[in-house]
Amino acid sequence: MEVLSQAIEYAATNSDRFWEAVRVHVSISLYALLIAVVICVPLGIVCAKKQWLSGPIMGLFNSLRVIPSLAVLVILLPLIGTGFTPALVALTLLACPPVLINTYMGFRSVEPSIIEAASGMGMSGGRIMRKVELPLALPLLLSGVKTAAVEVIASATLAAFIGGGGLGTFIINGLGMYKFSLLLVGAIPVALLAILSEIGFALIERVSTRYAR
Amino acid sequence: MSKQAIVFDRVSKTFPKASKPSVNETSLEIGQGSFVTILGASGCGKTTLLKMVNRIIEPSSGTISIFGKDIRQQPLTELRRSIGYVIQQIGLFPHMTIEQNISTVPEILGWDREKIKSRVKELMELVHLPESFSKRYPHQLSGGQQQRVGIARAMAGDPEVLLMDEPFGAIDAITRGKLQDDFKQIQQQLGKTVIFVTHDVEEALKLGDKMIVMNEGTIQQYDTPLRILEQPANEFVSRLVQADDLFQRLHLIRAEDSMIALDGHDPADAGQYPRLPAGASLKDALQLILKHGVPYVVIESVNGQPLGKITMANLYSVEGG
Ligand SMILES: Nc1ncnc2c1ncn2[C@@H]1O[C@H](COP(=O)(O)OP(=O)(O)OP(=O)(O)O)[C@@H](O)[C@H]1O
Ligand SMILES: [Mg+2]
Repeated sequence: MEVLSQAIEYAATNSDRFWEAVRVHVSISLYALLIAVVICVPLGIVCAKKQWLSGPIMGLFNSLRVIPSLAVLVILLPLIGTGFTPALVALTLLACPPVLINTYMGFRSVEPSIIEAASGMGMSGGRIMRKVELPLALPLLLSGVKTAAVEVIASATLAAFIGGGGLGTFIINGLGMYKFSLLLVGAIPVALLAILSEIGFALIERVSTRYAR
Repeated sequence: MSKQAIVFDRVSKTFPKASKPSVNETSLEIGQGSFVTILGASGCGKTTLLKMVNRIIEPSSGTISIFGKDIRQQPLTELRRSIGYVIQQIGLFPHMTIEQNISTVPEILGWDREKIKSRVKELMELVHLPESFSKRYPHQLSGGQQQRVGIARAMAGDPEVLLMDEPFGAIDAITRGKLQDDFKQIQQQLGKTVIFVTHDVEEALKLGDKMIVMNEGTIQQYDTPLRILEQPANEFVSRLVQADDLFQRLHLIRAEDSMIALDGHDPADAGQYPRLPAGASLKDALQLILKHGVPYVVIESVNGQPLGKITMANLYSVEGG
């Protein structure tokens, strides 16, 4: 209990540094997620429509998943140096596979007969996408984004290793100085953020599948 | 001569890599307002033939025209909006309410809200769905109710032509009979041209003004149900509809013995249906039902009292058992 109150006290007395770290952590996670969505949702749709493309593309992103984020950071270091950007690149790569795979599965899960009915009634391709396929694929797609969000928020602590800032800074310092309370100043907010995003996305998912209840 | 609604001119379809055509050199004329059923075993090309009309499948050769116009001469989406289509798997949109499902085509056509609303109401009445269902989702309906929605949705844009692929497929016999009667009545009332695929002999005979019997991509016979029963064009047709057997058995059974008794009360709509004397055979009853395209005939006593009725289902239960 004592370490906890020490941690809170530390955060209170260094509130500027603390909130700046939170801001960086949240924004680097959001950017990574956003970029992953912008790239991987269309890519996932293309894979679902063109089967022959799905093998190579999914394979590529799945193999990226195997490389640990820290390794990616080390590989990127000589290329783009240290700071916010390489951290963002590493986190984006981390966010991509779940978004891509779930988008793909979401669009594949739409019954072909439903699409045939839609086009048989004279709906254009774009309209089918907007009115039928996207809403039906959305629950799976969102759960991919949820997974990515939790992973990114947790892994964004690594950004601190290459000077990207964020809550990881406290963790590294805490580890370095054997100060458990300082470690908690970083770890607890990260855990809270991850839980919050999990809950937030779960709510959105619930709304998007309202029709099935 | 009545106008031709749909004309097939030497239409063939061979799928890529297939060794033989799924539909072979088919020529066919379907009059406006007629109800044509397509009967044949699984895989004989019924669906393929149907889907070429709204270009979900493109013919390999030949032309199809609707009201004299080659279907390739208008934009695809426009063609399809003018044709009602009920697919084999129903295909309702699970994330849309019944109301939204039925409004699909009117919305594309840009009707105003009020008009769409009243159209949905009208259609739900037409297919006998309670108005309270309009805000429900498809999974909250039974299979038979969903098929009614499918039909209402296909009819929403008031198309002249309706294509239906086994629309009453996965339904129990009683609900199915009811849907058939209702739909036949709607079709006669509105004068739509319908092509209706089925692999159920009874359904094909009962609903069709005319009937196409297909085998391995080729039309074996295209005629009225009565003629198909009485004069099957070949061995295949005769075996498929089991005409000889059916007639022989039915000839031996008195209508009186297998009718549904009315117990003295005259059903409200009995007046409009043809009548038969009690001594008549089931074969007479079948011929009369097919000739007039009615759901049943009334059996009457010597002094004209209605005694009972014979439906198509009656006749087939005799045949089956
Ligand atoms: N897209 C396709 N590609 C290749 N072959 C096909 C395709 N669609 C149908 N076929 C073939 O064409 C033939 C006719 O198929 P069709 O779907 O028209 O049969 P059907 O009479 O509707 O059968 P069912 O009663 O089972 O629905 C079958 O041999 C089928 O395998
Ligand atoms: Mg079929």
